[in-house]
Amino acid sequence: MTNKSYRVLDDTVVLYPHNYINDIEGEKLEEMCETFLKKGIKKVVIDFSDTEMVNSIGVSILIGVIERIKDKKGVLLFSGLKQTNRDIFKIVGLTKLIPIYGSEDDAVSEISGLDTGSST
Amino acid sequence: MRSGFRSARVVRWMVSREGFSAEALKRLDTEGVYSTDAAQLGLLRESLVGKAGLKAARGALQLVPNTEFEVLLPRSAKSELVAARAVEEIGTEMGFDADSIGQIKAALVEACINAFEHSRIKSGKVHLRFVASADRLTIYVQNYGVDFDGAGRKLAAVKAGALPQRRGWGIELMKGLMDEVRFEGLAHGTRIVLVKFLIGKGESEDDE
Repeated sequence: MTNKSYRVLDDTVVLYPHNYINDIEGEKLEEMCETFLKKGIKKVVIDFSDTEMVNSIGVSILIGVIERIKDKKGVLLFSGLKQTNRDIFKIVGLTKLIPIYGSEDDAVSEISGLDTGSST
Repeated sequence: MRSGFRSARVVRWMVSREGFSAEALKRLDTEGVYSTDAAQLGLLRESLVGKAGLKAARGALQLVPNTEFEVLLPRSAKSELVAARAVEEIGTEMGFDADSIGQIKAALVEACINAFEHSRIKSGKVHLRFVASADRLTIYVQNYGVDFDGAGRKLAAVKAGALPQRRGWGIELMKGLMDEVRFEGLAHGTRIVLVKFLIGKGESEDDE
């Protein structure tokens, strides 16, 4: 199942945020993540390959997404971060909390071996 | 002043882009004139200021002295991206590397968002001034309203393994991404000043 905003692989979903994560794009990402959590998919990769910039409001929303996945005892990995976004996440402290992979494939490969007790 | 230059010696030094013919070199040698071609000059400059310094100097040559650009942003969706695009062009011309340009763009986006959020007039515009000088880019972001969000506030320390607080990262991001960030209260507004040096503070040409 593919879509330009997400891709589902068994018990994992890969989310593809847009070029600029602000309040609007951040909320879309949050809603999408919530939808999959409700479906029982608790392994989430956010691939930032197409994301040039995340602003502070986008960061706030991402922290909320992390909280939500943590509450559901899920797993979240990031991939494809551009250097500026890596700098931003480092300042906020997210690089210490969320494992970051160079490519989506690496992240998916890592997450697929983890056990979260997903219902799907 | 003269005594301070007792040991100084005045020499003539000629530089030619294409180099000198054998005849010209002989003549220069006879007259005690130093000669350098473009390749030698490049090596000399590199040995004096390093590759990073040369890179900075090349960029600075294109925009000095103190070239200024102004942009007036209306309050509209994603107008901060117009500012980001403008600074990308200016930064590239100045010789900033891609990572630094990304940092400047992200910091400027934060400054613009904050300026709009705290503008006293709902339809208020944000005035941007970019000053490109030999060694730095200075950006002035001015609104016509109250203080920028939490200009003097510091975020609470985050415990190891705990999630960071959700709100209020704008100023921290600006400070983390730029070399200098200042907040200036004005009679009819507030101004934030962002500074990025062509060679980062504490970074020498040997770091490359």
